[in-house]
Amino acid sequence: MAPNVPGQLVWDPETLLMGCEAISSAARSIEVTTEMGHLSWRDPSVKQISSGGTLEFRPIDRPASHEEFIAQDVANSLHDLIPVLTNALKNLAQQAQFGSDGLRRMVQTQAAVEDANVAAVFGTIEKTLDRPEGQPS
Amino acid sequence: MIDLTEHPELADVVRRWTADGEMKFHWPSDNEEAFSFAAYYWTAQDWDLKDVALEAFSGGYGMKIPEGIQVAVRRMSAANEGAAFDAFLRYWDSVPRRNAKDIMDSSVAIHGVLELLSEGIRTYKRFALEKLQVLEEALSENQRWAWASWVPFAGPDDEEIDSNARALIRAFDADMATARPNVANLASRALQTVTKERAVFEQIAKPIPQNLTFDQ
Repeated sequence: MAPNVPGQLVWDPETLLMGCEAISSAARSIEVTTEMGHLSWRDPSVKQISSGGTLEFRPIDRPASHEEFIAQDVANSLHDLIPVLTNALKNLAQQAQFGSDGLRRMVQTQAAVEDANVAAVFGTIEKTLDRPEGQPS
Repeated sequence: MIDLTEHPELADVVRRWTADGEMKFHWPSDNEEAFSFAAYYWTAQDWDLKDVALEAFSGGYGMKIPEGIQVAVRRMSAANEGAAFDAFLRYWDSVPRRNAKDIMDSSVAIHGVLELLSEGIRTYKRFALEKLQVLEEALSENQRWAWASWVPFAGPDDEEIDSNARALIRAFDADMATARPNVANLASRALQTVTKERAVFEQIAKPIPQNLTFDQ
């Protein structure tokens, strides 16, 4: 690890590469959770997982005349939420990957030449993707 | 799942008396197991999110994960200096880390209301089965005299039997009417939470402009 003097321009390829790879691996894992129907398991409309591994969905049918559904709205709203969650996680994976890409560019280039450029790209991406404060969270 | 069809004699009581109109209670057909199954998965896949959020976490089976983004960021911070690295840290904090944390918090909130809802449905169904059992026995007992109704003074007549049955149904309905708001409130609270958290996911899900890139 290179000695670090505050205010001095130092890029340490070894630690930058470690960060780049750790982030890239997490980004890939998050992307994988959005594939292959994993997120459907968060949908209570899923009736069961059959032996073939496929998901069966409970039809949203009317209850019999002596029955009622008390929480059907909850099940429906979660069913509708899965595609939104999928896109949110895909975006998060991409946002994390931007961080990894920037670190990789630092690993591959010279600090003195690229410091301002990399900082500018991070600045642009941050400005574009930052959500305004006070939004529900 | 607790299922009325597994208790045919109780199902008959509900079917008959709801059709008659005297019974206001309806059997709750919601699948409490589907809700608890879904609740489990609303937090089970959080390890990578915790990693991006720079939170300490354990892997499956409670295994400690020694390396992660948190450690990487700490080491990078100790060894790198300059505008680019500062910009990385600011970006990481205000975009991926913040979003990962918000997705985690929203998931935990949804997990919580679904667990409560599942338990609420289970409790309500058990209570209903218990009360239906008592009702069914009381109705059979009441009906026991019907065979003798044509013998003068042998017991209550048809009209009395019917009126007794209806009184039993009304008492049962009164019990169920005090229990139902618990589960109905849990359902409306769950719906409110899902709607609220959906707004968070929607913001994070907004399309990312394609020109944003580090590629040269």
